[in-house]
Amino acid sequence: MKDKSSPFGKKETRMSFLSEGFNQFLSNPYVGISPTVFMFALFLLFPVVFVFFISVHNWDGLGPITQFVGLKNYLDLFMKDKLFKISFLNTIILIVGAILIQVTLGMLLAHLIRGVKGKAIFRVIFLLPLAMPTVCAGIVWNMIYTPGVGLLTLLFKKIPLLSILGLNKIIWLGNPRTALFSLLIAYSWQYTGLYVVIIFAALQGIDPSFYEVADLEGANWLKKLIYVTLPSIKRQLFICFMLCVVFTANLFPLVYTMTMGGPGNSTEILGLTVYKYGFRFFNMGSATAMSVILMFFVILATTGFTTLLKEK
Amino acid sequence: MSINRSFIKIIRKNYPRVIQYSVLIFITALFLYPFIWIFISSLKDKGSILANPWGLPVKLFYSNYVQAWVQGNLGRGIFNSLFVTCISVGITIVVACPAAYYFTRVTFKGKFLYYPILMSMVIPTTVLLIPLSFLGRKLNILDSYSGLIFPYAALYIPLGIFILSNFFASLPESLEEAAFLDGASRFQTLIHIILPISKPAVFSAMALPFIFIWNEFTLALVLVTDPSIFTIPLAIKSFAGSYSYEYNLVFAALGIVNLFLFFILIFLQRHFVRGILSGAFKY
Repeated sequence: MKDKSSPFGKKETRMSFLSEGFNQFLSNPYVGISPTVFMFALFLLFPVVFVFFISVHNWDGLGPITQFVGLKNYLDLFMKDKLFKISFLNTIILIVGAILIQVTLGMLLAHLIRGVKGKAIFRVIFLLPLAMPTVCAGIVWNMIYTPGVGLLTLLFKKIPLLSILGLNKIIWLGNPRTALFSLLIAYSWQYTGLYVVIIFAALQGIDPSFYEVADLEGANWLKKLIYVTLPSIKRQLFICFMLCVVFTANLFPLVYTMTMGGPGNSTEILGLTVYKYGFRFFNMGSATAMSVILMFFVILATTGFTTLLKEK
Repeated sequence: MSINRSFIKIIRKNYPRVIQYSVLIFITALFLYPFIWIFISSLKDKGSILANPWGLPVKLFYSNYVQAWVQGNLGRGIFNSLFVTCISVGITIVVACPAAYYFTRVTFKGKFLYYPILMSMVIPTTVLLIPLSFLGRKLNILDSYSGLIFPYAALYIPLGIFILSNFFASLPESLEEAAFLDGASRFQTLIHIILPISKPAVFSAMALPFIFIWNEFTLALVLVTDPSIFTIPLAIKSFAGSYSYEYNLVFAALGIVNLFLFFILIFLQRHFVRGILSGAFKY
């Protein structure tokens, strides 16, 4: 007879294939976390330590690591390196642009799909680009921007006003002035859905009586947005900002497929510069110094947002 | 006339609704158009892609798909991606489940490791490129499946722990106490009591890493140079690089990848969304 209230009765031990001793062994919390700690130490902690170590040395990536140079790599980056400055600035521009475009658009779309039938379908449509490999998104957007083949130039040619303004003649990815912006649009196409989903769920959680009170007070939509909606979804907004920082720091595949940092250095970002220094110029010292700066930047920004979040 | 008037009346009455729907459908169309464009263009020949980029194909060229599949070696790419992704997700979940459980439900000195492990989620992948290629060379796992599987698993274990521990922390303690009274060990409690009721969290902890690993490009670019173990992003990138002016073939290759993606998303969509939300709401 199986006693249902007690799956661990002496006769009916479902885990009988595990001996008592082994069971005790696995129940030790240190044993339970050891695989995680092992993987963490080998593939995450070691790399971080290694990056710090290399950043104070000169290394070509293959030979022995011998020459200790102290902080020279860092000083060189800040004093001499133009590429570093451009890529740092571009990374910050992209983060701010991502926050402005993606989170704002995410909020707009989340508001729009709120009262609509078939919310789930819209949500999936907005998530589709996110699930697509970034490389594929890069290839598609490259084609969209290609003059002659791409949709964008052709579209602008058909609208007379735009062709008078000369928008149809712009080679979007070939012009240093427009390349970064074009990249930002492709990036936003891919990631806006994420923020739609998060903000939409946050909006669902707002107590409707807040809006009723606001209506009674005669608030217009702007006041409702500022005094009711934004304070209620503050936490999720900060998380969105944090995700913007993290995903922009990981934007490497998109830039790699779309522009490779060009034309000129106009779309150079930190991740790409690290890759170029490391695997093109074999200047591991500078590449790792830049990695350290990138890492610090991301950790500072994200912890900044989390502390803001916990303050409330 | 009267039909027209009543129609106007309906619009007037519901104009916020009408505006809402039309703006929403317009933006949705913008989001969807690249996908539609891929599928339409993948069925055209090169000439009509250039001559008539907006229109539907006059004659269907299914052969694009065959050619892209063969010349891009996409079958191999999809197999490699599936193999690498499934095994790394498997490792992730097996390793993350007990860790998340012990970190959230047991008091022990090792708990100080919890925050460093979660913090490692924000480390950009490009930072890991140089150390991991060095490590791969030392461990002699460059250009092999295990050279991708282990770094991927390690990269997404923190995410798995994050999603699972959010869920575990919300479970009542009385659940475990009953099991302990019955003489169950901690591990048995995890397997028989906690995991069966945590199925949704476990699925989201698998779906999110699945999509991310499926799409991962940065690490694979550096850790793999042998075309026979190219994952899908690498295979597509190298195909598009060598056939960059054969637009029809590139579109067909993208079409194949997207068809596969839709197929996966049909199953994972729910868990994917839940995974995102559990991360965003219980920080």
